[in-house]
Amino acid sequence: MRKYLCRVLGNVLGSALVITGLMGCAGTPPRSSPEAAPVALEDSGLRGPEAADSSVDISYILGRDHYRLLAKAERASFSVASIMDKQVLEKNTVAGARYQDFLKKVNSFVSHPKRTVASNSPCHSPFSVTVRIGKETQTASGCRESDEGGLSRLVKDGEFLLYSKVK
Amino acid sequence: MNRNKLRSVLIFGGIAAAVAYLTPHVYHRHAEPSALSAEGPRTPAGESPLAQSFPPLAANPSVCQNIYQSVCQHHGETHDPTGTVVPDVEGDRQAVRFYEELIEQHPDWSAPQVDDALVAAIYTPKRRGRVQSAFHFVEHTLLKFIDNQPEEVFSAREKRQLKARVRKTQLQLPVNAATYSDEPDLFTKNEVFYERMLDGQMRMRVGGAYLLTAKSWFNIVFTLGHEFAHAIDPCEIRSAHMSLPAYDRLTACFLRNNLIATHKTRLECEQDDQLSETFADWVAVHIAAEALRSYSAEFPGVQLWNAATNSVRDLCEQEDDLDLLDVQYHPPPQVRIEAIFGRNPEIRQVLGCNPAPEPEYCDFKTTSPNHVSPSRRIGGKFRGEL
Repeated sequence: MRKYLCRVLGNVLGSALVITGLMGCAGTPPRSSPEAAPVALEDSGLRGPEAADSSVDISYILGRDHYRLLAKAERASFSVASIMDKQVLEKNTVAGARYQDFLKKVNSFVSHPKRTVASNSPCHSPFSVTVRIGKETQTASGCRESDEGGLSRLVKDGEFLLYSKVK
Repeated sequence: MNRNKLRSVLIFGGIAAAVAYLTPHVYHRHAEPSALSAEGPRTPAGESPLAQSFPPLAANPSVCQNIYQSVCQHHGETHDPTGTVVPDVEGDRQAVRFYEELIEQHPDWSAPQVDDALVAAIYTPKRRGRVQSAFHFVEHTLLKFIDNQPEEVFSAREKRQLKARVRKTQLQLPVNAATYSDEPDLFTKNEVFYERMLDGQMRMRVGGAYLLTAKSWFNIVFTLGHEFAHAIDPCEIRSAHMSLPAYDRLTACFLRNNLIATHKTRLECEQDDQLSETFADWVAVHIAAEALRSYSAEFPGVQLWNAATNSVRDLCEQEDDLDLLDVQYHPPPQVRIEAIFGRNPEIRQVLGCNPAPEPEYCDFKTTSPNHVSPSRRIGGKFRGEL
């Protein structure tokens, strides 16, 4: 899976929304692996100058497909892309204020992941969420089934941001 | 609540429970065409692109020799008498367009307001009815499949346990956005999937994009059959602390016939393991065969072949780019379509194909002289050796 995600990332690198080398191909976690212990990024930096150089990568498997939602801030430009398998579904420029709200939610998510994976339970829908602010990067991973909707709501927020594009 | 009110609730609740319980038991194939015909178009075979390209099976034995190639050689939309199948990504795009249009038309709406409108537009009574109908067909067929296993496969107690898991699995289709409030991203996804929640709830949910695009009844049956099978797959059964010798025999056969890849890192039911997905396909094929058999008189020849194709058509899309496929947990399309679907004796019979040559087609009874309980197996090794 890691190889697979690296390939996907490599292909995404060609687009304007690339988040170059940020994720280190951490990829989707093994289905039954417990979440890694994340460390919260400084919340104060979320609206400061560092947030202007930030990115989000939400990677998850649902059913038989692999989805990604990528968001990025770079030099006062804010963009979001949705990818299914290797194909870009949509990519848009978004409003900075909305991007920052989303970044804050993602940062909160990786700082407070649910840790309620049932023992000996196969994970059918693993996910990985990576947020980078400035030079600091944090990742949380887990299982949709035991996440109490946190990942899904985050994806939904990201999609709402994506489709509420700047005209 | 006063006593009369309570009594009314109990009476009507009891009636509702009885109806819900009896529904799968009284269901039979003749109840289906209303939903089937409700969701047109029923394309006549002569107008189907595939119909033009496939002569009757008897005149085209190569179809029987390589079902995988026959199913997957066409790209884009495929038709059968009940509808079409389009690539997954097209479904997502259609749903996303709906979503985007709603946001553009109502820039002042909040995300939940947009979701409510999206649900109303996608989960129409007609589309919901179609999925519900397929769900009942699949549930009924799966219960029958368990019941029909001989005593040497499942004891009466084991059958009861398996059937209880089947009956416990609920189909959750949203009537409004609140139904999926804990998974609001599903409205734009082309997925059907089974989940067992921490509280023990077993449920099946259907993404909005799937409803928009999966119009072939046979595809819906296979897809729901696959997901339903996860309720009783070997890994779920293990999680429930059940141990079924018939499952061990079946798993050993899967491994022997390379229906499960034996990666070095494979750890059964944990990592790099295709067991639950192979099992789900294997059960779904049986259910698909029942569906095809039910309609073999109504849809003869090429129409039936097109229906069979659409059952598994979405398993092979994008197969020309292996980078896109999850072959970590799912077997590759050639295994799923040729070895599990195409070699199934019931499928071959209903399509008029001769039985597949060796090796054996796995079932709960197949045994090997060198049989070792697969629950101890990791890749090609046993846990104790690692």
